[in-house]
Amino acid sequence: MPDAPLHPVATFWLGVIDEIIKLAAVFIGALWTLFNFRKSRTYNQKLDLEVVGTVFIKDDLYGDVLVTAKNIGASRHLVQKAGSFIEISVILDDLSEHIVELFQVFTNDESIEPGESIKDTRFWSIAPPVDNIVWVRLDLRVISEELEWKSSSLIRVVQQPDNTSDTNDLNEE
Amino acid sequence: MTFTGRSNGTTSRPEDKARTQELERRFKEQEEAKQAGRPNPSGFKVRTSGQQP
Repeated sequence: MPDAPLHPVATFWLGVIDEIIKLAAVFIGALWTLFNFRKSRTYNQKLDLEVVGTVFIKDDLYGDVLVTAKNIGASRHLVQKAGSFIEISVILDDLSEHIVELFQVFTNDESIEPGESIKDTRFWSIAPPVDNIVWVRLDLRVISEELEWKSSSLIRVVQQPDNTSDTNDLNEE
Repeated sequence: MTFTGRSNGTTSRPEDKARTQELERRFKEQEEAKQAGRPNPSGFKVRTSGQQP
C-alpha cells in the first residue's frame, strides 16, 4: 500500500521548520567564525621585540646592543620614528639610576611586513671612573600606529681586577 | 670579561604621547649637547657610535 501523502498544511510547516533550522545553522556558524576571528586577533598588530646587550671593560666600559622587532601578526606594521628609542641607563652601587644615552632605533625602516624582522645595532662607551656601575639597563620602546611596544634587558657588570676574555651570559628580563 | 643581557618578553599598550614628547625632547637636548661639546647630563663621559672622540 503506498504511503499516504502528508496533510498539505503539515508539509508547509515542515518546510518552514527546515528553512528556519538551515538559517539558524548559517547564523550560528557565522557567529562562531566571528568569535574565533576576534579571539585569535589574527589581523591585530603583534610585535615581538628582543634586546640583546653586551658590556665589557677595557679601560672604558664598552657596550653594544642589538635590537630586533619581528612582526608575528598577519598585517603590516608601520614603524613610527618619533618615540621609538633604546634608552641606556646605568645603576650605581648606591642603587641610583642614571640615563646615559638615548638612541633612535629602526631609523631605516618604514614598516615591517608579516613574518619579517628588522634589526638595529648601537655602540657606546663610558669613560672611567666606571667602577661604581653595577648594572646596565636597556629599555626598548617602539611605536606603531598608536601602540607602544616595550622590552628591556638588564646586564650585570661585575668589576674584575684583570680584564680577561672570559664570557659570562646572564639571561634576564 | 664580557656580560650579556637578553630580554625575553614584549608588552604593548596604547601609546603614552606625553612620554613620546618627553623622549623626543631629551633626545634633541642630548644631540644639541653633543654638537656643542657640553657634558652628558648624567655626569658620565659617554661616547657613541659615529661620534668623533
